[in-house]
Amino acid sequence: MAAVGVRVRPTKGFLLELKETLSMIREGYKLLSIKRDELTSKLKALLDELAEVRRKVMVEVEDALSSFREVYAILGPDAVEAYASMNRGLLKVKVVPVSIMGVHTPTIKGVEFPGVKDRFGPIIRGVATRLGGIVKDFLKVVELESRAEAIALDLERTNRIVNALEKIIIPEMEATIKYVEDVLEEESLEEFVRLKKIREILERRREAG
Amino acid sequence: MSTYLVVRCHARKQKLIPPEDMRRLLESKSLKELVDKLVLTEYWKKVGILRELTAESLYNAYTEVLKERLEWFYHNASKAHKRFLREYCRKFEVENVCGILRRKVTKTPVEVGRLVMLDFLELDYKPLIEAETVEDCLKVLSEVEMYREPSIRGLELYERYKTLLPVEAELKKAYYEAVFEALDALSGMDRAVVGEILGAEVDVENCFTATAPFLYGYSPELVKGFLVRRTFQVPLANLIKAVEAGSREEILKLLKPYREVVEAMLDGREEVAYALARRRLRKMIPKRMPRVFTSIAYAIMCMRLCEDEWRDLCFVTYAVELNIPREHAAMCLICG
Repeated sequence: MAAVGVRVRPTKGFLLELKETLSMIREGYKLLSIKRDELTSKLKALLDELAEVRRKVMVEVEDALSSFREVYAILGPDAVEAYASMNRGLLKVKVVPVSIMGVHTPTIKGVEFPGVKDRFGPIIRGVATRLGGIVKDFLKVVELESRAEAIALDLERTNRIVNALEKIIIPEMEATIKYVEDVLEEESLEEFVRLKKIREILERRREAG
Repeated sequence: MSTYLVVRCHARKQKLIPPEDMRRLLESKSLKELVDKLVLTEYWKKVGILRELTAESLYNAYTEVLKERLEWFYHNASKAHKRFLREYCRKFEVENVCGILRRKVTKTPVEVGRLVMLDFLELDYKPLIEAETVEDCLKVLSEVEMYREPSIRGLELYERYKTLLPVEAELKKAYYEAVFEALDALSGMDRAVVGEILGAEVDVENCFTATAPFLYGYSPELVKGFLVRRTFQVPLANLIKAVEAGSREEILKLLKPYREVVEAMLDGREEVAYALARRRLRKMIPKRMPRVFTSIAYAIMCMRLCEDEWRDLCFVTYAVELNIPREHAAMCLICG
């Protein structure tokens, strides 16, 4: 018999070792269950926050795009394209990892944003500012999405381990322990019977002699 | 005297698209439907023959009609008034130059069809179009008498700020200086009426400029340089104070004559502010028309109406193509 990749030796030493391992596995299972519950609640809170931020951003984007279309219709494609290509500066962000229950999740901080200051003419500058502001909101969405993704991936892994422990490893270990105990008990009974028989033989020989 | 021109203007004014028809055009569901609705207008002869209906091809067709109209106004005016009309129509030349400069920025070829190139304005566009960079273009422009100073200043500012905004402001300032000087070519009443409209136009431009530091953090010193000095209802001192103002209330108080326009700007709805401003300028026309019923100012106001119609039609075309909600788009119509 083999339990979770370990060759079973029906010895008392092995039984003790198995029992110790099982106790450690049970401890790990308990901790992983706590981690799973915690990650689930964190993920739920994150998804709620993400839905709220995304809804807010969608309203802002819709509004800004509606204004943009009006501005585009007033100024025409030439002016809009020219102003867009005159935009200077790059979007620079800093990603700082934050640990949630041992899961590394990103926190995104905007360091530098492309500015509209002193660059855009009347009519377009309003919509350019709004679209620039939306980039900041997008960063928040990206941060929440990446966090949720990292947590969800770890949750999936943790859940798989907890399930494996709960449904496969622990029952198998328990079964192995029971098997070893049974074998040992059988061996001990066999030994007892053997000793008894030997004693009987020895007694019979003594009486005959 | 431009009697023939003025008499013809009375007739031509009737051919302009009324506001209710413009709103009906805005309800079109496609460019095809929009073009079909233009069948009874002067635009039909240009748009009816278009093989491919796109916003760009329609824009070019409207521009051709506008060009024909403006050239007609000019060629039928008396010699004495031609000087003013030439300077007045330079606004399109300035817009063309700005458009060409923008193309230099985007490094895309200039579409000549989009330019309002008037045959009575002497600017040679060929070297401007052929110039490769904004700097080259401004150097070519500095060889033209009218644009010498603004293009030299503009070039300095462009090299410093790497944006066309100060260049455009310099060109606009030069345009307004020239057109206000050319007002001398008009008689007393005409000068007063046209001067009021141009002054209000300058005021509106200045209002947009003056709110930039408060709303968008533009550099006050740079913005002060954009202000056009020929003001009408808002004194220059108020505009300078508005540039440095730190609160909405203060700005509204300083730019009080244009309260509704400034309010829209402060609410971040600049496209609506633009339409309100143009609408306000347009409303000045019917009030003043009876005062100048038989003089050149009437023709100039007709030219403004033609320009508004062109801008509205271009807007309507893009609004239909981009499927802008009608109630939103209606707010941006100049004709109201």
